[in-house]
Amino acid sequence: MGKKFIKKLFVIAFALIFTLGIILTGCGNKNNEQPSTPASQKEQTKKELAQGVTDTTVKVGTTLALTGPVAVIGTPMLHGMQAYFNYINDQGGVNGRKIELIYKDDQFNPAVTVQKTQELVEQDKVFALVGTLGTPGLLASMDYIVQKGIPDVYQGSGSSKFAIPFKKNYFPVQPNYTTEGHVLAQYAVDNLNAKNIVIIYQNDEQGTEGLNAIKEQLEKLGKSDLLKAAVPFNTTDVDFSTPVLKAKEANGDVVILLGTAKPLAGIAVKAKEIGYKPQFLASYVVSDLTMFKLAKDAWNGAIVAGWAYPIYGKTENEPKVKLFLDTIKKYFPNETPSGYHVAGWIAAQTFVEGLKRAGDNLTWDGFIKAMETFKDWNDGLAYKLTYTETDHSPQRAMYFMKAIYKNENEYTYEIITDYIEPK
Amino acid sequence: MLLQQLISGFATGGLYALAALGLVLIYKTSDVVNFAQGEMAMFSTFIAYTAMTSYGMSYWEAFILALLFASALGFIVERFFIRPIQNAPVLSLLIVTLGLMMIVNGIAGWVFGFETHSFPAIVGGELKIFDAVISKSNLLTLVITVFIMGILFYMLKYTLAGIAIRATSENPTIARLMGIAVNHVYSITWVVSSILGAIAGMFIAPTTFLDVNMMSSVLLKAFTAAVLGGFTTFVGPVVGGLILGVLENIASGYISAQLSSTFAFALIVIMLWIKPTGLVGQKVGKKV
Repeated sequence: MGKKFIKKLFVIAFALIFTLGIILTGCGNKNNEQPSTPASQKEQTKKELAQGVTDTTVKVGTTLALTGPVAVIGTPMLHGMQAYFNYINDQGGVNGRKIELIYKDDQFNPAVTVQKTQELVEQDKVFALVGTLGTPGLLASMDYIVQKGIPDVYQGSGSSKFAIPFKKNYFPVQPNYTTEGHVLAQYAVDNLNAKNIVIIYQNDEQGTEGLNAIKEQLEKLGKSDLLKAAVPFNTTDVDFSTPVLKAKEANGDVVILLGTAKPLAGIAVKAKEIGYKPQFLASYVVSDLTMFKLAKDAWNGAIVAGWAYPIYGKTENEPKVKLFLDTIKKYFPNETPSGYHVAGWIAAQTFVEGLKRAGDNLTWDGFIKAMETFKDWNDGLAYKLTYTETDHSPQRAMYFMKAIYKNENEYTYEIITDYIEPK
Repeated sequence: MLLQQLISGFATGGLYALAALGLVLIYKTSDVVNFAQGEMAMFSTFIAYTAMTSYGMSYWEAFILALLFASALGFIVERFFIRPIQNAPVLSLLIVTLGLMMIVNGIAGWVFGFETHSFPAIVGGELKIFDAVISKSNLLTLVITVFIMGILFYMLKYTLAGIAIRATSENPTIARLMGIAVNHVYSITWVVSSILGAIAGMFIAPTTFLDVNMMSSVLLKAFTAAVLGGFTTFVGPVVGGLILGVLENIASGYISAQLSSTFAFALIVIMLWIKPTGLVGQKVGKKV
């Protein structure tokens, strides 16, 4: 009897935990689902407008991971977007239209991304997709989005596939791994005067795309002989001594690291352990502060690429940075503004700029034409965006920062170059 | 380079072996492969981490707290998840541990979040052996692994509790008739194995960093180590772990780095093919 009772109690407890979990995540979704407004449909007949646009509103949608491991990126990115849209709406919107953002959690699961994207386009009838996140999901839904022709501004991904081959309705903003590889190679040659370059790369899309780009640029500069070794590693590896030892054996003085934070931190720690101290040069993927928390002083002196306008240090008081910092503080007072907030902010900013330029010509075609008038647009936190009728390549220039680690509580990146554009 | 690779391989192999010991203990007594072993270890490690960062405990206080938590966790899991279905076929038990793996992982993400943290090592610094270097923490892991292996081996072979465990493993019904509290034996093995997991977790975390997925690749390697060395002895997984660690490094250094993990699994297949009992495993009579 007692045994059964305890068993039952346990089952009930678990059932409770699970329902609670489901309700909690469910709530997140419900909050943002806008009540359908039949009134707005009447207005639509007056002018020819695309779906999701009325005289007073523009509806946009996004998919990001708001639960699961990638939620640490998805949540601040969403908040960055919301902060900018709120700021614009508080000023009365764009041409009298307020922006409604509908967001869906895809849990970084490509199958869910595809489904949520279709929901946004077909049920919620959004005007455009803005600030979506996660390479696998975005690639999975790409065919559908291209076929629909709906404008897609800013993909939170470093893949070059959104720009190459050319896609009429895609407007990538953050540099892709190809662009980054070009800048990394150039910087290693021109500024670091590298004699022996070694590349340690993650055995996946990010790593191989970056690797090829670095080789490409070195060839272009006529410096292919500087590359002494390219060593892959797997994200599931526990021990990183092999790549580190190979780099050491090749006498690498500049070691370019392409990958995610966890393995790269493991590599930096291993190098320190065996007493190997090359100049590390790393992808912007690890440009947030995680590396300091994981690798500690092994990361001191490493140089990391950056692309979004820096928000700390010397630039802190520039108007466009101050606007960002103040707005985040206003709407999300408990959050420390991070690079992910900046990403969302830039996505929203770029879309709003396109919306302003399109004026009342709010068809998909009209919006795309307006986006294609961007020429070195530099008012936002992205750097010199240019889109033409035949080329929607993202930002090309990047800058570099040096890691400074003093102790467990004092560490930062210091900006050491201006924006560098690959030759 | 070769020497360093060998030594680093041994260090990593020690981690695999330590993770494998808990698996083997449960397998030896109840024929169940506990897929949740890694996740339970990760959870206990997070308890230690939280105790240190949020409650300001010292390393050793947190260490002991984590071990206490691990024993409670092991007890609860056995009492409420395994015992109610202990007479079910082994396959059902496997499914339960698989389910537990996901439940524990999910709850950990919910409670502790998905961020990656660094975890302090028991000792800092490195030791130089000729040209090669090994971190003191990894060396200590090796020593502790061998030590635990020895204790388990001794206990199982020469103590009364060990004899009870072996008898239960041989034939639970007769063991019960002989006056062995079979349920207590199961309870104890789960508690001990959970504690071993927590120790493994806290030794592995400084190398792999701590997050909810830290054990996923380690546990796969631990399985490989156990299969390679033999699932039926305690010496087996240690030998298997060390060999695996070294082979992985050699493979990625001289054959192909992309295939270093693939290599580990090819090894399982080959091993099962040539010598299913593992390198040092003995043939065990099938229970009827």
